[in-house]
Amino acid sequence: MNNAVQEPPSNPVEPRGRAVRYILHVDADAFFASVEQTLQPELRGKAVIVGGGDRGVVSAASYEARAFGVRSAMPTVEARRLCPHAIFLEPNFRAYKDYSRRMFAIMEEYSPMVEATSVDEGYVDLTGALRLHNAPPWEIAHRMLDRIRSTLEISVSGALAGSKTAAKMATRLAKPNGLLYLEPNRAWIILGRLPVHAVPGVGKRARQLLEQRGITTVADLAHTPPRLLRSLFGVWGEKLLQIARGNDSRPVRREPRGAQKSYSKDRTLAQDTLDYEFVRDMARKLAEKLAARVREDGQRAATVTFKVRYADFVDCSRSMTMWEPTNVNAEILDCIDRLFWKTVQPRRPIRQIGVKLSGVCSYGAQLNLFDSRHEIKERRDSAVDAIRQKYGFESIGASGDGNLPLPG
Amino acid sequence: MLFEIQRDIFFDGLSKTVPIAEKRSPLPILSHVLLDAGEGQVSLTATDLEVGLQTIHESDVKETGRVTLPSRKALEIVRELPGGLVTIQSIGEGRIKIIASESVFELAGMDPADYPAWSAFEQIKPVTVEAEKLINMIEKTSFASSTDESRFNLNGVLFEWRDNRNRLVATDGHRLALMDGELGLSLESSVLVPKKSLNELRRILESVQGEISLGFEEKNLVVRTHRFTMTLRLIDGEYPDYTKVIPKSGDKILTADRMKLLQALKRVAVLTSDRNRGINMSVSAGRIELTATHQDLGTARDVVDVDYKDEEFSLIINVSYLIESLSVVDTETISMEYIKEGAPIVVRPHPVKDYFNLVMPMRK
Repeated sequence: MNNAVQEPPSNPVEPRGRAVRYILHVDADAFFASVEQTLQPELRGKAVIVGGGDRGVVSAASYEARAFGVRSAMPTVEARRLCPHAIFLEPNFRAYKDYSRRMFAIMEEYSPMVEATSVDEGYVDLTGALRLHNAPPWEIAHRMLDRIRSTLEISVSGALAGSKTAAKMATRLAKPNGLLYLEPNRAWIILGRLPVHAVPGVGKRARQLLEQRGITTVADLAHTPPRLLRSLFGVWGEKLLQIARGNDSRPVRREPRGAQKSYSKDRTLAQDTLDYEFVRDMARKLAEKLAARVREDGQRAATVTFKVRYADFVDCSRSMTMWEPTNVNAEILDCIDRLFWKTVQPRRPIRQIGVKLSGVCSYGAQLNLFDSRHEIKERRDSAVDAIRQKYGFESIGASGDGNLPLPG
Repeated sequence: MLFEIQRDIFFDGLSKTVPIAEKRSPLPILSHVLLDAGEGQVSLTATDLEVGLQTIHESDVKETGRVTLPSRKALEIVRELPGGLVTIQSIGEGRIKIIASESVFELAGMDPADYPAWSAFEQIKPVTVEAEKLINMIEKTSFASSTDESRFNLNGVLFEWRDNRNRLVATDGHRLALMDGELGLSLESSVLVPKKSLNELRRILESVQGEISLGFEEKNLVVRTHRFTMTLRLIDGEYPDYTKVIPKSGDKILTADRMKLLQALKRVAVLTSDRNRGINMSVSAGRIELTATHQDLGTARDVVDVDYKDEEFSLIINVSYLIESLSVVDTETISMEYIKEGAPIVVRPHPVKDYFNLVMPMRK
């Protein structure tokens, strides 16, 4: 493999026979920090680091701070060393949520086909909105981003391309505060030059494995024999290849506003481990944090899914659906405990775990004839949430925490 | 073994027993039906170990004996046979021939000795009950029991003996149905019969008029007529103390035309979703207003005239529960009793009879 740009293989960005789509990926720049700078104008132009929280890591760093090498997910201690003059702020999630809501509301004014993938990024499918605006797609994208910038006074970037993956990868190039348009047929000439970790999903470990084999750019990856990727990453390897080849026909999925369908959290471990007790504790913590979010939104979830990714990139997941939706910690943790040993295979080092709560519904729960303690549990959990929001996650122990015996 | 039987009789027996045979069993023989040819009669037996059914049919038995037949295939074959006599013959090495004029089928059976033992239940002292009475009591209650397999103790209907009467109770934790009746089935302690098995019993009893005998042995409810014996394996589990949740009479009682209310409920139910079956029910003097909101589709509103003079109240309730609850009532008028917020609604026939059911509302 070499770094020379190769013509994309028989894989133009749009699978043959399919109409061209115009997908805009929108991503706010250093979102939390950007919102803080808007709320407190005296912070503008200064190095602002939002962090602390429960793990003591950086949640967001303004571009001024990034200039000193501060990155998100970096321990705050490290950030302080790199940029001692930075202003460190506790996260103010309520404000971020509000700004997020307003940002997506603006996006929806331009096309109803909006999919939020996180608090500060999402996709808009402009294909069907061209006639409405009587303008070319890049013009609409430009207007939209400008509206966000002027209305919310935050910095936002975006890229317009023929698929979600292409748009997302191109946004990297547009940042900060830019907009990039990639013509679908030629997009991969540029994207192919990007380093391999620009492909969504390729993290530190996958990057290492690929680079060891001389696969350093997206184009290299697109030309890698499927067999090699399968042996490295299992089924995910095949998906990865499709992504790198630009074969991505995933539609922009419009979600009813305010109705989140599921809540999930993944955590990649600092290193692969066989310490299942540690992993299970982490799974329980993820589940508790998700449950807190579900409670905050006044929702309940019926299905709990637990996922394990082993060191060899093989995924394994199990889920169970409860008799009725809940947001009570004890009930969700009970599911995690039950799923844990169904999912985890002994003597296989674990690389990543994930928890998902789905089957979300907002309606007032069905009351029970026989058990009135449910409501008390829910209130108790919400009280714990309030304490944790103020003093951090570890400030108070997990409710209903009972340790299951671990097999030898 | 060799016998002749009328195609229609044989088909009737198979269509009753075959649905009971286990479809996907770890024990392959449970997917077979057992044929036992005795003097002048043939019995067909099927079981999934939860429910067992043995039907008895007249037949010209030339040679007694026992064989098993793959149940689904046997039923498919006999369904397609013309009317008239069918000959069933065991031809050795576990093979069985089914002959009807020019049609000949040869099927592989299994060793009948491996078929689960069928007790004759002779030690049971049965009582005689009107089939219709038992069906009625099951219909009034079993709908409220749970289908969630993790709550196996709520998957059944509780049979009790109280003050020389029988009481049937079913609940899934959200609603509860109760009926007292004269089955004359005295019990030393209450027993739990699975809802699924009771549904099978109802299916079989549909074609039965008159009396059946009923008895319990240690692990089974046994139902018998001269045509069949059915065994229903009891659930071994703790039943919650339902008496604690039956509310004392309140004062807010409304009465309404059952069909009118039921139809209105079915209309507003259209705009509920599978995820959220909750509707809003507001009751004020002389009327019930029902409203439903579907997150993506829209709203529905309906008003039903009722007889009610008391204070207004409103609640959110699972419309499916309420529909089922009203559906089992067999009077033209129903009464609904509201006790207080967070307490169950009591649905009764009006005038009052010996059954009622409770539906817990949803949190507002």
